[in-house]
Amino acid sequence: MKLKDAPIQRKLMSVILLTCFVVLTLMGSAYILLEYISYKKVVKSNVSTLGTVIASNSSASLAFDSPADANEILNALRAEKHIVLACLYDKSGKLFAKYPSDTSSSVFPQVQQKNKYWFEDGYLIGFQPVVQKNTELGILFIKSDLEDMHAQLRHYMIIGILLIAGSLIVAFSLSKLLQKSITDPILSLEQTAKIISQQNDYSVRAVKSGKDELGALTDAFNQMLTQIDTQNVEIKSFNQNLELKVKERTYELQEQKDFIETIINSSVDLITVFDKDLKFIMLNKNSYEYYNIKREDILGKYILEVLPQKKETGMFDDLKRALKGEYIHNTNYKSAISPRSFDNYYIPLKDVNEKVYGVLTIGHDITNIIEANEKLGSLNSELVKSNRDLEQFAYIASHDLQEPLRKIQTFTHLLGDNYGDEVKFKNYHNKINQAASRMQNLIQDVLNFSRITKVEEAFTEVDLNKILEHLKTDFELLLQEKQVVIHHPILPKIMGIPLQLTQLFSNIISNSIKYNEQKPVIDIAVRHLSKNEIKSYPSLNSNLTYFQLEFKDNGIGFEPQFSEKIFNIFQRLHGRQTYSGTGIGLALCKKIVENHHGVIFAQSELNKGSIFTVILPG
Amino acid sequence: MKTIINILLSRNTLLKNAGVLIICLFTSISIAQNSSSNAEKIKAVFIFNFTQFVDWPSSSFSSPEAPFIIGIAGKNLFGSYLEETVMGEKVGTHPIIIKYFDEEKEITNCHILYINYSDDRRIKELLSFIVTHEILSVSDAPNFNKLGGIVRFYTEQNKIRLQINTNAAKTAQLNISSKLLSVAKTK
Repeated sequence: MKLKDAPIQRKLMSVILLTCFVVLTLMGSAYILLEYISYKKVVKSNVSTLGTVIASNSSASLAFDSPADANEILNALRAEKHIVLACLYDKSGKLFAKYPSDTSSSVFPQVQQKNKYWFEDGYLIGFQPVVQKNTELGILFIKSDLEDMHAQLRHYMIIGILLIAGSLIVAFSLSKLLQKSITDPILSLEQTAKIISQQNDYSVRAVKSGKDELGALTDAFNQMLTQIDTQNVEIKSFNQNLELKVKERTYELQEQKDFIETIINSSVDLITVFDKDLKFIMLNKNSYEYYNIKREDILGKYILEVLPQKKETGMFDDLKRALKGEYIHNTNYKSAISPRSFDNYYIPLKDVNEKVYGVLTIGHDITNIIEANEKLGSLNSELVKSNRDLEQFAYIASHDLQEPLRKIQTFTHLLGDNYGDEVKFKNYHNKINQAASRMQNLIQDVLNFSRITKVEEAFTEVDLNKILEHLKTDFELLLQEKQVVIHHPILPKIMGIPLQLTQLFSNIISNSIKYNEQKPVIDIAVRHLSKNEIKSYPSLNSNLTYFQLEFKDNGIGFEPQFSEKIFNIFQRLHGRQTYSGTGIGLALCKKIVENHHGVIFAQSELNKGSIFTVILPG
Repeated sequence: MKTIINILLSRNTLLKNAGVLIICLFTSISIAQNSSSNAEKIKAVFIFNFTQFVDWPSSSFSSPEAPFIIGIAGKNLFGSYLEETVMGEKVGTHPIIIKYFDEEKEITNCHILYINYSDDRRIKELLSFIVTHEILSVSDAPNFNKLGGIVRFYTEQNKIRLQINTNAAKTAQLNISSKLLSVAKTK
C-alpha cells in the first residue's frame, strides 16, 4: 500500500519512526565519523610518537654501525601488536635493521618521504628520520595496522545500531500512545462522516475533543452539517415542487404529443419525415399501412435501402431538391408501390438558421379523383355525343318526321277538296298511306337507334358464321332477285350482343346491295391485328387482341370526303327518290361497334365500290 | 680552493646536502671493512659521530665560536679522510678542526684525542697528562681502557666495536649518551 493511501495512524507512525530513524542514523554516523577522524589522529600521533622514540633510540646503533642493537630496539615493538612492519635505513638509504627480523627485505619500501605519516590501504605508514643532535643518521620506516580502530568502529557501529533499534522501539511505543491524541479525534470525525454518508443522516454531530485545529475542524464540520441539513430540507421541498411541476409538464406535453400524433395518424394522407440523409424519421399510421412495413424495419433507414424502387420514380429526385430548400408540389405522382396516384408535397424542414434538416412529405391519394375525372370525361364526351344526337333528332323531328306529316296534311286537304272524285281519292289515299308507312319506318328506326344507345345487354359468345347464315336466310328472296354473291371465309366467334351484331351485318350488307347498279358482289375478309396496328387506333386498348372484318362491295361508292359523315344519324347522300332509307343505318352500325368497344370506318371513291372495315375485340 | 668550497657549502644548503651525500657515498664504501684503510675510514666516521653522543662542558670552549678540536697524537692513520669527514661540520656552534700533536704539552687543548701509540707506557703517560681535561680519549690500543683511556676501538666479527671506560669519562667530566653506551662494551 502506498503511504499516501495508508491510514493516518500508520502515516503518523511512519513519519515519527522515519524521522527518528533518520535523525539517529545521522547522529550515529556523524559521531562515528568524528570518532573515526579523531581516532585516526590519535593513531597517527601514537605511531609517530612511537616512531620518534624508536628513531631516537636507534641513533647510536646507526651511528656506530650496530645492526644487532638496532634489531634489539626494533624488537621492542613487539609490545605494540599493531605495528606490523618496521625498519631502519642508514644514511645511504640501505636497509639497516628490520622488524620482524625474519621478514624478507623486499617487503620494505624504498625511502619515500621523510618525516611523514599517512594512511594507505588500511594501514598507517610513516617515515621518521633518525637524528642525533643535528645530524641525520638514517630513517625509520614504521607500518601499523588499524585493527584497533576498526574494532573500535565496529563496536561503535553495533552500539549505534542497537541504540537506534532501541530508540525506534521506544519511539514506536511512545508514539502509539501519544498519537492517539491526534488520531482519535480524526478517526471519530471520520466515523461520523462515514455514518452520515452511509445513512444520509445529517442530524448526527461529531464530538469535539479539544480546542486545537481538530476541535476547530469538528466545529466547522458540525456547522457544515447543520447547513446541509437545512439546505436538504429546502432542496427536498424544492425537489418535490419541481417533481410535481415536471409531472404536470410531462403530462401536458404527452397530451400535446398524443394529440398531435392522433391528428397525424388520423390523417388519410401519407405523412413521412426524412432527415437530411434521407433516412426515415417519422411515418404516420397510414404510411405504415400503405408501405405494409413495421416501425423497426423502416425507422432510421435510408429510403433506397427500404424502398429501392423509389429511385426510378420522381420521388427520390423531388426529395433531393427539397433537401436543397425547394418547396415542391407534385400534383400527379404515380406510385411505384401500388397502382395509385398521389398529390405529393415535399416541404423542407428548416431550423432557425434556415438550414434544412429534413423533409416532410405529404402524399394525398388522388386515385379516386383521377378515376372519377376520367369517368366524368367519358361521361362528358358521351353527353356531348348524345347532345349531338339530340340535335340531329330535333332536326329530323322538325324536318324528316314533319315531311311525311306535311304530305299527309296536304293530301288530306286535297281529299277534302275533291270529295266524291273516286280516282283522285284513290290516288290521295295511296299517297297518304305511303307517307304514313314511311313515317312508321322512320319512327321504328329512331326507336331502334335509341334502344341501342340505352340498353346495356350482357355479352355472350356469338358465332359470326351463324349470324351471316341467318341473314342469308332472311334476305333469301332479295339475294335471289338481285343475284347477290357473298364471298367469305370462316368467321370468328366473339363476345357480344347477338341482336346488335345481326343488325350490324344486316345494315352493312343491305347497304352494299341497295347502293349498287349491278349484280352485287360482297367480299368479306378477316384477320387479326398486330400490336402496332392496334396502337395506331387511339381508342383501342393495346392490352387486348382484335380482329378486323372487311366488307368490300362493287357498289356505287361515295366521295372520300363523306367517309365520316355517313356515320352520322339521318345523314343521307342521296335523294329519297333515288335510294330509299332513313339515314339511320350506318349511325346504328357505329353505335353497335362502339358498344362492342370497336372501331368502324369506311373507304371509298365514287363509282368504285366501298370497303367497310369493322375492328372488334376477340 | 678549499675555502671556496667551504663558502659554497656553508651558504648553500642544497650543495651542503650534496656534500653530505658525497660523504655518505664514501661511508658506504668504507662499510666493507676488508682493507685496513676502510677500517680507518669507519673509525674516522665514528670519531666524528662521538661529537653527537658526547656532551662537553661549555667550559671546555673559550668562546661560542671557539673550534671543536679533534686531535691526533701519534701517526696519522686516517690520511686526509678524517679531515674530509668533519669538513664544514660543527658541534653546536663550534666548527670542527683537526689538530696533529707532536708535543704533549699542547695536547690539553682539544676535545677528542685519538691516540695512536703502540707503547702502553707512553699512552699511560699521555693519559695521566690529560686526565683532568675534558678530553674524550680514543685509541686502538688493547689495554687502553685499563690504562685510563675512555674509548677503545676493537674488532669483533669483522666489525669495529667500541669499549668505553665510563669512570674515565666521568673523570674527564664528559657526559656520554646512554645510547652510545648501549652500543658499546663498558667493562
